[in-house]
Amino acid sequence: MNFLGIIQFDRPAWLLLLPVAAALVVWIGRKSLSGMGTTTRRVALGIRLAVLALLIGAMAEPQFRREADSVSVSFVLDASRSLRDMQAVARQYIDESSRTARDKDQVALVTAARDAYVQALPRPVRQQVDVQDVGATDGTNLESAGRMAMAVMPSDAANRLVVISDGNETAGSLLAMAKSAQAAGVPIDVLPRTFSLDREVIFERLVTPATARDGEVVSLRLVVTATQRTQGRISLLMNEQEVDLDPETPGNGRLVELEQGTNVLVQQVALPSRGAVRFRALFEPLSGASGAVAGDTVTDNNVATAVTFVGGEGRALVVVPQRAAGEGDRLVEALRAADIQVDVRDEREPWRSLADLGVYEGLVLVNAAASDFSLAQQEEMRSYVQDLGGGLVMVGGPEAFGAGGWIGSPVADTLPIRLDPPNKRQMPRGALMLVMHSCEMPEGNFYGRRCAEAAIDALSSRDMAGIVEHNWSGGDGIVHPLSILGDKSAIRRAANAMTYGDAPSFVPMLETSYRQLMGVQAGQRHVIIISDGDPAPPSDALLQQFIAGKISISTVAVFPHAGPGSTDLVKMERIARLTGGTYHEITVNNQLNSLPQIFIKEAQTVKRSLIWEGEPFRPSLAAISEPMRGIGTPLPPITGYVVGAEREGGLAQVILRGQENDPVLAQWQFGLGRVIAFTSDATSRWATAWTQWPGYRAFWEQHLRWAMRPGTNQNVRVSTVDEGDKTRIVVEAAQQDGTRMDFLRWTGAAVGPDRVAVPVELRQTGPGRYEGLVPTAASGSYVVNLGYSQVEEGGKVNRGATQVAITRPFADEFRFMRDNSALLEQVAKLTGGRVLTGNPATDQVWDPKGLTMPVSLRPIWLEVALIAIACFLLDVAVRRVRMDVLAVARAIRRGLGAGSSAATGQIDSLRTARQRAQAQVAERQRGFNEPGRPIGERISAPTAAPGDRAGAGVKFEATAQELAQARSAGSFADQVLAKPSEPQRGPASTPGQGGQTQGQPGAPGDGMSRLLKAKQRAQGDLNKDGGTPPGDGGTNR
Amino acid sequence: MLILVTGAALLAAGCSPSASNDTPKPIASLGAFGGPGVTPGRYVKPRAIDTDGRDLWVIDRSGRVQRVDADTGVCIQYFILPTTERGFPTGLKVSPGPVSPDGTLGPCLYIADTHSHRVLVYALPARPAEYNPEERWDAAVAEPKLVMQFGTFGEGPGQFLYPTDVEVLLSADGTRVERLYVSEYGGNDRIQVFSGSGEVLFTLGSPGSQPGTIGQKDYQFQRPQSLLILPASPAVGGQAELVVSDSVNHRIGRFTLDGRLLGWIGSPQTAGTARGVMQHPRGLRALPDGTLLTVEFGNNRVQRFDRLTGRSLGAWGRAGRGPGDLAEPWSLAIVGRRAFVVDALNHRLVVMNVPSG
Repeated sequence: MNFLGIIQFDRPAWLLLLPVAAALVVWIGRKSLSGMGTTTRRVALGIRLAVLALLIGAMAEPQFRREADSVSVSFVLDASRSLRDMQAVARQYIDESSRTARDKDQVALVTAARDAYVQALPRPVRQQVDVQDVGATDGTNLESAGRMAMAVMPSDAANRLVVISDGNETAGSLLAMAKSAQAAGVPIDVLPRTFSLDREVIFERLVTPATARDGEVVSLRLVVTATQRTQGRISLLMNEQEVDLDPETPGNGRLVELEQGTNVLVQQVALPSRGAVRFRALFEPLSGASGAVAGDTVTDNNVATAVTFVGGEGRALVVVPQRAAGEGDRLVEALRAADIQVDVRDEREPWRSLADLGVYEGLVLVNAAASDFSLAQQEEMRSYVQDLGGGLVMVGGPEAFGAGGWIGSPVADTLPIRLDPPNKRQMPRGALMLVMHSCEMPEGNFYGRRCAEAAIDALSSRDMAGIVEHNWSGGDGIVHPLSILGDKSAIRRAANAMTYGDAPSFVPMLETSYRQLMGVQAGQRHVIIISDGDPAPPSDALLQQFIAGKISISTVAVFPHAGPGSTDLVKMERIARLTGGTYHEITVNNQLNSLPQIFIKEAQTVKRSLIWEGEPFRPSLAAISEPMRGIGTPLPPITGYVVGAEREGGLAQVILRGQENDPVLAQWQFGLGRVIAFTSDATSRWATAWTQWPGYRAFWEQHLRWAMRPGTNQNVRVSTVDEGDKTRIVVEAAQQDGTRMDFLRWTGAAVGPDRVAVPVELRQTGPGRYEGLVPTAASGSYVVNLGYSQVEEGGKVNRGATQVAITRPFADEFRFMRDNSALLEQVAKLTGGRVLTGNPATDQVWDPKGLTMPVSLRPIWLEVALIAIACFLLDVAVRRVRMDVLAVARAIRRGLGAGSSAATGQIDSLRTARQRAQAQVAERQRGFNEPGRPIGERISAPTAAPGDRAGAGVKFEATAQELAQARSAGSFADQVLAKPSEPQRGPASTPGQGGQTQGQPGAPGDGMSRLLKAKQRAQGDLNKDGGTPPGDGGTNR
Repeated sequence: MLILVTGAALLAAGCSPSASNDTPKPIASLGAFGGPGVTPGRYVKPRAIDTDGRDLWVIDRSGRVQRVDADTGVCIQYFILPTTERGFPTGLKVSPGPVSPDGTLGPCLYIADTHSHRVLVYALPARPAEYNPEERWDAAVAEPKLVMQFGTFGEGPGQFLYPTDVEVLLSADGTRVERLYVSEYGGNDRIQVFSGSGEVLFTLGSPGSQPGTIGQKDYQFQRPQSLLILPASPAVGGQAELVVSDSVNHRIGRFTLDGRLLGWIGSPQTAGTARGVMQHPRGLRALPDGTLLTVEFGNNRVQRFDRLTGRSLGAWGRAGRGPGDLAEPWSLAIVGRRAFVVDALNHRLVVMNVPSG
């Protein structure tokens, strides 16, 4: 080891040079320095050796070394559902084992489920570690958790990773992560949680054809795995209707006997109708009557689902909201007469999922408002058009388009017109004030902002909106003053800055709203209040002002403190009733999601201004389009429509125009699908003349057919193969006559449960056979829409489309029948970790043994080299300047502390004084033969201490002998520094202290040492008195 | 000359007392206890506070009643209220004497369980000799005895919409609980007076903003939030008083113990931010000299009033998140020379010196 305490050398071989070079320097030094004094020579030699040592030291590349001594243990805790009851045990283990740690040790915790979450960053081990949200638990990704734990490991402690898991992973690879840990020198200890399901039945899958013909009898294959022989009942639901599998026995289910291993059961089923048929098969274990032991431990994995698309000619879904019931009758009648299969539904459950909607080739919305659909459904509509190629026809009415709150919705992007009216149109504006008091409800801040944004989004850029709340920090509570929305960025910023104060009273907020609303020119004025209802109510006089000002107030009561019928709710309801608004009540958590919808709906109140109504006029034909072929003009007159604006860019085509060139009928292609917007309505409200018009049926049939997705090709068969995280799609394409279709160009998209579309690429793998992969990690339904095109001879383009649904009924997490301790052991072995026993006392996870303590190294060769250079200069100085090191040191010390009188300093001053005295004595001797006694001596002599008195009295009687003695004692000092100077202030020279005054003659003696003694005594006396000698900084002790 | 004039003007402005009065300043706080969190010693929007003379008792929105060391802010013990789904208590009193309503000895906690429409009375749990000064979950969980509870939802006698505070009147000899005053809001804003055993004696006030007549009982309340009885003592004059913060009317009322109006400080018309007026006064406590300290929810400050003249003797605090700032303060308690202000939106207790002079 190349250590020298905290210094470590990278190239220690250089150090071998040191003795050789040192010997050389000494040898040379003896000669070259021989002309100097002994001390100078020694000092110079010493400095040279130091320079040499430093230079060689620098060449050996020294590093400053700091070694950590704390241990940080990062726990990776498997929090997936298969281990849900183990969590408490694991946490107890962490708690208990943390007691074996030292105070400086650290602990970190990362949970592994579908995603990894850091529950605790490395922190002192005495702090409590708690598990909060672990995310979705239907999967285990130990790799990402391990990597996250590695990422947050402290660099100044020895690290150990402890994995507490059953070793079963559904994603990622712990082994791959372990290799990184091995490279980083982090051992992974494992605490395997063992389990084994001896009695378990897993419904592996339900295999159905992806597509089938109308009325076809198909074979379903039910794949069930059992760990041992068992009995049970299998039931099958087709679109949630139970199918009688065994007509001979009572009940609908079918009794089956499962052998150990994989069982495949085949069941024939006649498909009932066209559209998506959703199969769900269930297995229920029976208590064994025939001796077989019933056994099933986990029931989450006893279900399998599948979807089969039953093809047919074009099918369309018409959604007519309840409040507009009857408005779609004439339209539906016309479509059915045109042999289009139409399903009519209202907004309560228009479709169950995207797969359900995807069955239809076209979707028609009749006078439907955005608030009729959940945000998820709106996203599905958009995805339906863009990714699944479905056709959308939006038929107007007073609740549709911009007047229906669609502005800013996901569907607005798909429409061929802009819902915001053009700026040039002179129209009355709507004015909306939001009174926000959402702080008391669950997630109040989140929903408060969502609601405000939803309302703002539903308004057009020309409308006005403002927000008011109780401002706890003072002021009038205006979050955003009532003003024209424009691009809405200002009000959005303001909404983000709401403080969510707890309003004690509605009065100030309503007074502010009233002043704001009456201060602007607006066609419609409206207020929305969201509150728990406990602020003090407004007075009737204030409400009367609102009524007189034609301002309606809608109230949304959220989580009132008291139950239904309480005064809070009555109060809120009364405000709405008196002012002509609507009262809404949200009292349970699962209603919370509808809050933004309520705000969109309420915001619509001020959107009435987007409706044009007037004298009948005939819309003008602006362009010829494919669906308008054969339809005679002029068209019948209309009396109203919802004002929108033409889209720039030329992608959308406006076919019919109304007043001031407003679009009445427009169409375009959006993604894979086509969309038509008709801003007038389909009833006698605005289009009375149309309902009697002979061209009515043709108009709607041709437009809907143009928009609808091309029908599913019956000869394209699609099947899917489960491949872990992914699903392989296999397409076999053939012509009607059975010849294979080769070289097709496929485009496709898969829409998963998160409604995000993923492009699907298919490659030809055989004659008429194409394959592609779809990522299907999450459980839920996936709809894959595939379209193909083929250029035939003669330039004719042959197009077609097909669909397939993939279902992931339950998470892979439930497929495991036993733990995978082998993997954990392998990981421990790979990284040099241990397999823990689960006993915190013996496991000693904080034991530093076997851990590499991290060492931080800092190269310091440059610093060493610089010191060597400095020393080298000193070496030169010592030789050339002939400097006395000791004297330099003295000078430095003198310079450092004013009045710091070191003993040597005193000697110098004394010596100066002595020289002066000698001079005086010599003069006196010259003048008088008999030396006289100076008065000062006579006075001071009796006060001196008895032992020194005699010596002191004759102190400066210098003789040549004395001088020689003094010189030899003072070495170089005299030569260099002994110059006449002012006497030093100090205890020894203070009159009355030692009795010595300048120029005292006396008997010869050892003056210096006696003086020093006297001085020390005087100092001692002074210190006893608690004082510091005057002029003495006290630094020389 | 000009310099002289300017200098004099600056000096005058600097010395002017009005400059310091009108600009809100943070409380010269001694520090703060707590911070957001659900571990012991931390708070989630704390609302109610009182003291047993030594420790603080604090209720917050997590439904915990914490006993807090007034010197260190450490949670000594805590317990969780039984039902909190609909909301959390806003009022808390520690009884002034060692007697509980059922006649047994021992001080009690009176909790206005606002959103459960009732009053809960717990025997004060024994103070543990030792407690863990760390913020850990294993801080002692107390299991106090529920001495009594009364009140149901409703507007009849003995019923509550939202009770806000309880005040306890002991008999003159201090041996029994003579009366309990309970204030409420929510549309039936009033103060009900109960006997020690929970029977309704009489009711004071009705919902509204009318000030009523001095010496009469024709006044109205809008959210009477805090109640305070000043016992008869030389400092308050010869007569005991009931003081009420009528929060939404922005005023403080003084009454005889039988409910006759003695006077109002502030009014709905004069509400504002200036010195001497109030916005949503909530917590209310008296100083030994009989002056009142009130916490203003709307103005984020503590104001001191001369009870008899209604004159403001000072205001401390401003809206904010920093040291000594307040965000929606609800209440306060006084221990010795220190006042503890419940700073709800900052999830802490701000500690200040009790003003004097």
